[in-house]
Formats: sequence, structure tokens, C-alpha cells
Amino acid sequence: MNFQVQNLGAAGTFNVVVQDSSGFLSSLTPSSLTLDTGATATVTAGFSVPLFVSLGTTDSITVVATSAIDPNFGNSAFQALNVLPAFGFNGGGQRPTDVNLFLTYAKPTDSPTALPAGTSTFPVMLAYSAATISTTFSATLNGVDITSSFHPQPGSFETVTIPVQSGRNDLLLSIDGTRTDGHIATDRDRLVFNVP
Amino acid sequence: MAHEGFFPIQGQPVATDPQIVVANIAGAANNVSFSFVSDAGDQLQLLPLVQGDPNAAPDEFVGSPLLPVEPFRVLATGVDGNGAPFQRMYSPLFRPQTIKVTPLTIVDGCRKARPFC
Repeated sequence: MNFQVQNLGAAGTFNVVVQDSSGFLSSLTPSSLTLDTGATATVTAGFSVPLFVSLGTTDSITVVATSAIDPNFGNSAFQALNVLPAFGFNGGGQRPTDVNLFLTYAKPTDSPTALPAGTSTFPVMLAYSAATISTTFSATLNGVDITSSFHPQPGSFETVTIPVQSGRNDLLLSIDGTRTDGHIATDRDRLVFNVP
Repeated sequence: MAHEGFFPIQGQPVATDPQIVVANIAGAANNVSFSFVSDAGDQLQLLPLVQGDPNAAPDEFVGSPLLPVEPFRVLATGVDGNGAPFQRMYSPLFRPQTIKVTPLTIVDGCRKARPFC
């Protein structure tokens, strides 16, 4: 999350702090700025939301920049950050309300995923819904069966690091589950990773 | 269509930025006038506010003043519904600033278990 700090007064040094109600702040760069008159700078605040935090939680964030020599000179900006589900990517498909939710992903967040040149591994973070049937799970990577790398317990999640190589990498994941109408259906996801 | 109306600013007003001031008076009042006063209560300048702004409620007073450069409060004077003169001070002390903090990214939310958001 980026904030712009602009100094419209005399040149000076300003201290930057972040107050966040839920304690999700993980980084702040920089925390001190020296700005000439009219100068601007960007402050980047990073936030990490733990997995155990309840959905619907809101983190109230206030970024405060204060003169290093006179605390009466300063200003602030406010933003509210809502906690969203970890596994927001369903892999795509035609039945997003049930079948596509048998397997959901925190990583990747989309497919295809462009990875930096030289990348050799990717941590796939996926969740198995409570409706899944673990014995039906299968996974292949570029045609090679890697099912045994996964541990598909219904209602659980895990991170599995897969090897990737230069070019296109196809990870195919499949699992059966019980639909909302009681029928058994299969969620098949193709996750594509492109490495230059 | 965007939601029209006036909303409080974040933080303190920036001295050089154009500002819109909106005031509400509770109860019957006539001949209302506003002014900026110092921390000590001395009048700094008049604050011309009028009713009838299309983006405000009919009973709200709206204006676009230049702000004092020193810390100020807002004072309202007038005549109440019984014909008695009144004076009311809005107690928060505003400190016009020469530093401005602005969000560059609008983020709806942050997903759980991400190392960085």
C-alpha cells in the first residue's frame, strides 16, 4: 500500500509511522523522509494478514508523517483494509458456486501465471473443501504424475512446492466432491506457469 | 453515478489546498454568522457560509474559504428561536499543515496468509 508524502512548507525531515488497529503491519519503507519545499516521496506499507483472522475483520490504517523537529507539524491519511478469504482463486470453470470450490488457491491467484526468468520452483497453496473425496485426487505436472506430493484432506489446506522449468508448465489437478444438490462432480483445474 | 455530497477530509487541512467548509446548526437559528478564531479565542477572520448548496442538505451552511495559517476553531453566532443571541464554539482545534499524506493505492482488502499485501 503506497502513500505519497508532499512537503508544501520549509525543507525538513519527517518521521513516518503507521497505526493499524489489527497489527497487520509487516513493513514500512522508508520511515524517515527528508523533503525539500514542494518535494514528494512515496512511502510503502506492507501488511500480512494471518490465516486465523476472522473474515469481516477490518484493519483501520492511519499513516502519519510528522516533522522531526516539531510534532505540531504533520498530517495523516486513513485507509480501511478488509480481510478477504485466503483462497480466492477457484481455478476457473463453469460452476463457481460449488464444483469450482472443491479446490481453491491462495497461490497462484490466476492462471496463467508469469514467473521471473530463472524460477525453478513455485509454492502452490491450495485448499480442499470439506465436500471433497480425497481418494479421487490426482495431480500431474507436464504429464508426470505428482499426486503423491499432495495430501488432500477435506477441509484442509497445504502448500506444495512444485518444480518449474523454462517455458510452459501445466499443473493439472482433479478431485471429486459432493455438490450442493448431493450429486458427485469433478473439479478439474489447469494451472499454467510460464517461465521465460 | 457517483454518490454526491460532502465528506470529512482525512487528517488536518492543508493550508494551500482549496477547502469546503460545511456547518450544521441544531435547532432554530437566525442571522447566523461564522468566523475563524484562534486557540486563544481571538477572531482571525470571518467565515462566509450560506445555505442552499445543491450538494448539501437544505439546512447546512457551505462555503469555500481561505484558511488561516495559524491553528483555529470555528465560532458561530446568531439568534435562537426565542430571539436570544447565542454563541457556540466548535471545540476541535484545526491546525493547517504544510505537509500532505495521500493514499496512492486504493485497496479493498487483503487476503489471509499472503506474505505481503
